[in-house]
Amino acid sequence: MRAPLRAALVAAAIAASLVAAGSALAANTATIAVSSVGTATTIHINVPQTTDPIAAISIYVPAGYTANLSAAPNTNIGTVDATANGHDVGLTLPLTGLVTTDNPALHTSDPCSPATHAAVWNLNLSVAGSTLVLPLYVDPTAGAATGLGAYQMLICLPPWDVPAGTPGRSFEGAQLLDAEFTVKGIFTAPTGGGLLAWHTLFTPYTPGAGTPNLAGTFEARALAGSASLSLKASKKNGKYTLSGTATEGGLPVAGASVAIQRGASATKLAKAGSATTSTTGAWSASGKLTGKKPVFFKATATVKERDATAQGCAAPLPATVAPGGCSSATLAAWTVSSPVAKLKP
Amino acid sequence: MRRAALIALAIACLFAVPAAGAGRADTPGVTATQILLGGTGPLSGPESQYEPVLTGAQAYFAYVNDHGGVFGRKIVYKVEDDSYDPAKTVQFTRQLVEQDKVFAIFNTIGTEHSLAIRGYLNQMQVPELFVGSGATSIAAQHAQFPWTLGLLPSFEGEGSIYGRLIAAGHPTAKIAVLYENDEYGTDLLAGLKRGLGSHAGQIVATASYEPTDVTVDSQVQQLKSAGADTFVIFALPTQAIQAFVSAAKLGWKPTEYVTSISIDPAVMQIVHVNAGAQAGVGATSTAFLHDPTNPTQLKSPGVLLYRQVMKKYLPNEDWKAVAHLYGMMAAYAMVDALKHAGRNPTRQSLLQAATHMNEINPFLLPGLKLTTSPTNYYPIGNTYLVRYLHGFWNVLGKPLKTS
Repeated sequence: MRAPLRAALVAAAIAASLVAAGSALAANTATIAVSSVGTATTIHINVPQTTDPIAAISIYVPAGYTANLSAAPNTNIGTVDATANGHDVGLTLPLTGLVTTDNPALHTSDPCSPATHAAVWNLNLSVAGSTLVLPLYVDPTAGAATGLGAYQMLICLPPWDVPAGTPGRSFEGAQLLDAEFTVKGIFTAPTGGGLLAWHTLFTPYTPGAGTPNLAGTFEARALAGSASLSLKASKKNGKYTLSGTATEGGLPVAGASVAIQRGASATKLAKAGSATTSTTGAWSASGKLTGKKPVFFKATATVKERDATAQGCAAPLPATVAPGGCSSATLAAWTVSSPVAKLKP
Repeated sequence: MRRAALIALAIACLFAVPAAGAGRADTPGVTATQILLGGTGPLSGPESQYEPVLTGAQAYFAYVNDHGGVFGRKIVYKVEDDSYDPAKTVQFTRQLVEQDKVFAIFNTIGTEHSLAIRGYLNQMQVPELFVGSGATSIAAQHAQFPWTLGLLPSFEGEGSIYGRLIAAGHPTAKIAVLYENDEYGTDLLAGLKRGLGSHAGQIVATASYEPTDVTVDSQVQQLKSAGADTFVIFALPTQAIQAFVSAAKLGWKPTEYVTSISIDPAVMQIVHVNAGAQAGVGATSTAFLHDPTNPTQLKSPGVLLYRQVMKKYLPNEDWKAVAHLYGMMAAYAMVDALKHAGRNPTRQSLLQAATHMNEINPFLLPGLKLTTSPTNYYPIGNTYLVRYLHGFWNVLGKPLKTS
C-alpha cells in the first residue's frame, strides 16, 4: 500500500464512476457472510483465486448495531481461520490464530489508514510458527459513509503478484482466499426483524502493479438476521408430533436440516430423527411414544451459506461508491437450537 | 498439573537464591544483576519459520527471570535478525561479541551459519552453545573447535536409523532419496547409506534441491520414475511438504520417511490441505521433543510447563508450533549450563559446564537426556521412532541411538 488508502478510497470512489474500470474488472467477485450467535459475531470472507489481488476490504456494520470498542490493548476478543495461496511455494496454507486488540496510538501512521482509530484489532494468522499480523481498523462512520453503516472495519492486504523482492509484497507471495473471524462481546444487533445488509467494498490492485485500482472497487454484501427455531410437541393415540418453523430475520428459511433429539431428561438427549424445512420454513416429524415417563425433545436446525445475489443485489450501491457493482449477496451458515419441549404420557 | 507445578517450584527454588557478586572483571556480559547472551537467526525473510526457536528461548528465559534468574542474575538474550544469510550471521555475531560484549553466543540457527562464525568465536574463546545443528562437522571437530557445541541429534545418526529400519523391515525396498544439497542433507544421506549397510545398493535414485529452489516437483517426478517404492525425504519443512504433496499428486504411494526437522504438526496439516487427508499417513520419522498437539502428551510435565510459558509470555503466538518448544528446550539447557558454571561464571567455566552435562530436560520425550563430555559434543544422543497415524506422530518403542 503506497498511499493512505482510506482517504483515497473516499475521494477517489467518487471520481471512479467516471473512469473506465480495468479489463479484469468483470471477473472480480467475492462473498461475505455474517452470522451472530449469542454475543459472538462471525464474519466469513471468500475471494476466488481468479479475482484480482485485493488491496483493501471495508466492511460496514449495519445501522442499528452497537459496538463495544473499549477493550484494553492485547485483549483476546476472538479467533481467526484463513486460507491463503502461497504462490512462492506453490501450496495452499491454512492459517489460524487469535483476534486481539491493539493500542490505536501505535497505528496512527499506518500507510493503510493513517489516523487515530476507535479500535485496532490484530488478526494473528499463524502457520507453522510464522505469524502474520493483519491489523483491522474499526471506526464509527461519519459523513456520507453513515449511509453504508454504523461502523467501518477496514483491512488492507499487501499485493502478492508483484515481483519477489518488491518492498511491501506479501509474505511468500500469499494470496488470501478465505478468512473467517469471530469476535465475542463486541457487536450487539438491533432488535426487530428483517435482514440487514453488511455492505462490503473490495478494492483490487491493478494486476502486477501493486497499486490500488479504485475504479475497480466492487461490493459484496452479507444479509444477516437473528435466526430462531421453534418447536411444538403434541401427542395423540400413542404418537408424538413435533413441528416448528425456522426463521432468519423474521423471514422463513427453506431447506434447513433439522436434527431431532429425544430423551428422558432435558440434558440427556439422543438423536431421534430429522426433517427439512419447507419453503415456509416449517418442519414436522412424528413417532411412537412408549413408556410412562415424560419425554423431552429438542430440535437443531443447520443451514449452509446461501447465495442471495438475485434479491440481495437488486438495489446496488451507487457507482460513485462501488463502480464495480454488487458481485454477491450471501446469507450466512448457522446452527440454532430450539427450546426443549416436554411431553407427558 | 501437579508434576508441572512441582517442576515449576523446583526451578523457582533452584534459582531463587541470593544474588551473587559481580562476575569477574574480565568476564564480558556478566554483571551482578545480568547475564547477556547473544544470538542470531531469521526473524524476517522466507526462513522466518524458525523465529519461534528464538522467541521460545526468550520466553523461557523470561520465565526463569521471573523465578529469580540464575544466582539472582537475569538473563538477557539479545537476538539479531540475520535473515538466514550467513554473511549477516558473521556481521551480527562480531557486533554482539565486540560491541555488546555478550557472555556467550547461544542457539544460532543453521548449520552454514554456525560454521561461518565458528572460527571467529573459537579464536575469541567465546562459547558458541547449543547450535541448532546436528551436522557432523560441528560435533566431530570438537578437538579443533572446542568452544562450539551443537544441540540437535546427529543428522548422520538419524539417517542411519532410517537405513537400519528399512534394511530390517523392508529388505527388498527400492529406495529414492530427496535431500537438501548441503551438509544437512548430505549428512543424512551418508547416515542412510551407513544404516542400510549391504542394502545401500537398493537406493535406486537420489535427487537434491537447493534451499532456494521454488519447488521440488521435478525431483519427485524423477524419483518416482526410478521405480522406487520407498521415499526418503531429507528436506526442510517447506520442501518436505512439497515432496509429500507432489508424490500424492503424481499418484505415487511409496513407504515414506521424513527427517525429524520436518514433523511440526503444521507440516501434515498443510500436506492434507493440498493433497488430501491420506497424504503422508503412515510416514515414519524420529522425534526427541514433546509435541504439544499430541493427545497422548498433553498432560506431560514438559507440555504443561510449555503451555504455561506460552500463555504468559507469548500469548498471541502459535503454541502448536514445535519450534517454540525446541527453543525452550535449548534455553533450559542453557540455564542448566549457566547454573553449573558457578556463581561467578567465566567463559571457561561455562564451557566446562556445557561439556559435562547430564540433564533431564522436561521438553524432551521421556527417557531422553542431554549428556555431554569433552569428547561427546552431541548432547542428544538418542531419539524415538514416530509414525504419522490418526492425525499425529505416534511415539514408537524405545529410544534409539543417534550418536
